[in-house]
Amino acid sequence: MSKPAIQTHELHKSYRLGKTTLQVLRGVSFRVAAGEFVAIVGASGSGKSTLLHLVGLLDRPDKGRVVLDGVKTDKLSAGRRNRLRCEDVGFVFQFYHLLGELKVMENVLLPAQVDTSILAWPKRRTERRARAAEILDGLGLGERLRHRPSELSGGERQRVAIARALMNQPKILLADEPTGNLDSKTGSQIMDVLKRFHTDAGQTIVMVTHDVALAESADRVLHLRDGQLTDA
Amino acid sequence: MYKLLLCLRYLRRQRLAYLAAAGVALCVFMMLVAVSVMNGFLHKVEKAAKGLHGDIIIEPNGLRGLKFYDKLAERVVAEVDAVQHASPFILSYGILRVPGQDHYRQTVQIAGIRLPDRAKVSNFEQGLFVQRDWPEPTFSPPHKDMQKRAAEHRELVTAIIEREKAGRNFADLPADKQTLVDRLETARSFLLKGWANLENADTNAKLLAELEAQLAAADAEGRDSPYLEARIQELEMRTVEPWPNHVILGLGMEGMGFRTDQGETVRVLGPGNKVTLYVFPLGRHTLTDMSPNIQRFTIVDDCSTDVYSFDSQTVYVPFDALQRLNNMGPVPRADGTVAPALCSMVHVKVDEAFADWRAVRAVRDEVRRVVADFYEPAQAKNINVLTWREKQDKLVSSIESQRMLVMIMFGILSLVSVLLVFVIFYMVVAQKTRDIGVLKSLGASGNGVAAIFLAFGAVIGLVGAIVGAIGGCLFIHNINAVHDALYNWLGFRVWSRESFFFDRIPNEIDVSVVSLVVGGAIVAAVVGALAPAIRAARMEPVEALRYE
Ligand SMILES: Nc1ncnc2c1ncn2[C@@H]1O[C@H](COP(=O)(O)OP(=O)(O)OP(=O)(O)O)[C@@H](O)[C@H]1O
Ligand SMILES: [Mg+2]
Repeated sequence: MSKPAIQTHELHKSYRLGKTTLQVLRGVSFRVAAGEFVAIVGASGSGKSTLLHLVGLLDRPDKGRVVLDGVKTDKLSAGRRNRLRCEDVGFVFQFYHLLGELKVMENVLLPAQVDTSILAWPKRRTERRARAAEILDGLGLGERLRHRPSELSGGERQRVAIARALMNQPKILLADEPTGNLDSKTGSQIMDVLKRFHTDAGQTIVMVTHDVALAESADRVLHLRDGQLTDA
Repeated sequence: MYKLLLCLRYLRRQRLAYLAAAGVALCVFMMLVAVSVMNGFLHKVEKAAKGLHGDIIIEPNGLRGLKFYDKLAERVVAEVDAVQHASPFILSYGILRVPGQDHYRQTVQIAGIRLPDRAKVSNFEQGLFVQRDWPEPTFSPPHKDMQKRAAEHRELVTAIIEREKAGRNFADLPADKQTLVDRLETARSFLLKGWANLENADTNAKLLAELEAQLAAADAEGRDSPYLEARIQELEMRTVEPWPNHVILGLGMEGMGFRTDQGETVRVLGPGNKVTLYVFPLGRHTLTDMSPNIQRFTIVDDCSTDVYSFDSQTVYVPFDALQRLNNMGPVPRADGTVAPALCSMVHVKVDEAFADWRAVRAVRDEVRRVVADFYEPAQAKNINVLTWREKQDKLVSSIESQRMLVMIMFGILSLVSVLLVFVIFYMVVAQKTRDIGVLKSLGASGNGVAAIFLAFGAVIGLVGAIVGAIGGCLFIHNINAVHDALYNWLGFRVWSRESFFFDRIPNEIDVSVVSLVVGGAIVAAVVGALAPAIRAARMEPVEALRYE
């Protein structure tokens, strides 16, 4: 039995708002097996993004622990966390978050460049570019490599963001309302893309959404309510 | 790798970056121009001060005069290794008049010098007109050389007249042109007279001798001969004075020359013309006789040290001539001894290797020792030995404090460039907050993100500094042309030579100043980018991503 891709223990997170504290997460524990596609649903403001950020090491919990592929991340140095985030985690955001100055190809190459020093880059360049082109091709963006994000539609942008998230072949793909900003038809296309990566490549995916219908396509649906995660 | 890529991309796509670079460029430009001009200014003063007084000056308190100067000079040269040459010098004041021009009078500083010795103490010969760069200039250059220059200059004046008239009749010219052409015509006629004086020197001298003999004969016979006297008087205005009554004028003396709009120097009096000096003797005089000594001189050359305030007030005459006019020559005493001849000061030229002001001070101390040894203690204590820098202290230190002021002013302006870079980078970082969050979500470290902005700042500093430096160097190089163009356009001189001593604005470019300013600008830009970069590095990725 392989280690679970993600395992969290009693995650607590609160925000201080003036005098009051807002308890967003109150002991969230869950595990995601390698190759699993999990959807987390919850009302707006229930703390879904907060949870995803903790899992993706973008933030630290007040209490509790995140274990990624057997590595306890709470004791790691900032540098190791950066590396882990770069190599093992891919993020897809609701608002795409592509860099406007860079072309499609460059946006997708960015994680590979973050991972590679300037000296090593020339050696790996061709191979990395080939991989980026391949992913983009698979997402139907083979013709748009030299375009800027501003020249693309929302669905196309999100597909570029997915390509970027998958560039470094992360163990985990974290998607925060990937369809939240798209119409239903484009949204379901994006869902198809995610499912394809899940079934074809066995990509572990955790997706956050408030759309219960969308969540149906996942292997498992978790509900975030009152700072707690429940199965149904 | 992403750092380089993003840095380049931000450079290309951020308009604000150009603004920051332009700000840096402007500051570099101003700083360079200000410092270079001020430095050049100091340099010229230094050169001119040394030109007038040499490196070290030996002078008595007050104007009492220095005796045994030749022996002293010999001793100083012999005993102090660093000293190359020493020569006596007389400085006094007088009034200059032009025979036949009754309205003209000008107070002047009269320098009594020895030629060609003088050329060894200073670079006097470089500014001469007839004897430019001659290794051994004298007070009696050959007539043919003086005539050649006088004729050439007359031709120049003729050409300027033609140009200014541009084919029109005098009567049709505008009033200011008429005045100018009038002055030019006066200059031309004087130059011609000077040339003729030289050409006819021998015949005139012979004729004068004859007439004087006739007058003497007439006097002896008790005859009155007003006609002869009038002829002699008239002829005396045209003869060439015998040695040592030869004078070298400073260039730019009021009424002796002027400059045209196009920058040509026009001499009104030139070689062969005559002037009269009225000298109030510094040396011995009796209480009853306070009248000036008067002497006619023939102009043999003129000299420019490039310091307008010196040149416009100074004439040079042979040391012996001025000594006599100041009653400083040897005088037999009643007891049969002779009171020694006097000079005002001795100028000492120090070897180039000791030209640095600190080295000069050490040499000065040695010279002091020699002087103390040479004179009786009572006399020695009234004699000062000063470096050129001490002698010109008022002038030099006032310029230095001006330079300081200008540098502080422009330093503050340069702070503005740091501030500009800071503000612009703060804006860029704010604009790029989301990108920073994305980069961090991709695993970029805080240092990596900071490096992007620091490199960005450095490149902007570099580009700005290079553009500014090129612009500044070009401007300084052509500053006089620019200034003339401004004058033609605005009608007044920003740099007036009366208030800035110099004809031309100094336009030396010092490589060390350029590299200092360029380096400073790059550092300033990086410093300006530092705080925003640190802010970017510290930014929490989650916060950055929330930023909409
Ligand atoms: N930095 C913060 N400071 C203060 N409160 C915050 C902060 N981040 C999140 N919160 C609050 O925490 C709660 C959970 O936010 P979160 O973004 O995780 O919700 P969400 O479930 O993702 O909502 P949505 O579906 O609208 O994206 C919200 O009430 C939010 O206002
Ligand atoms: Mg959310």
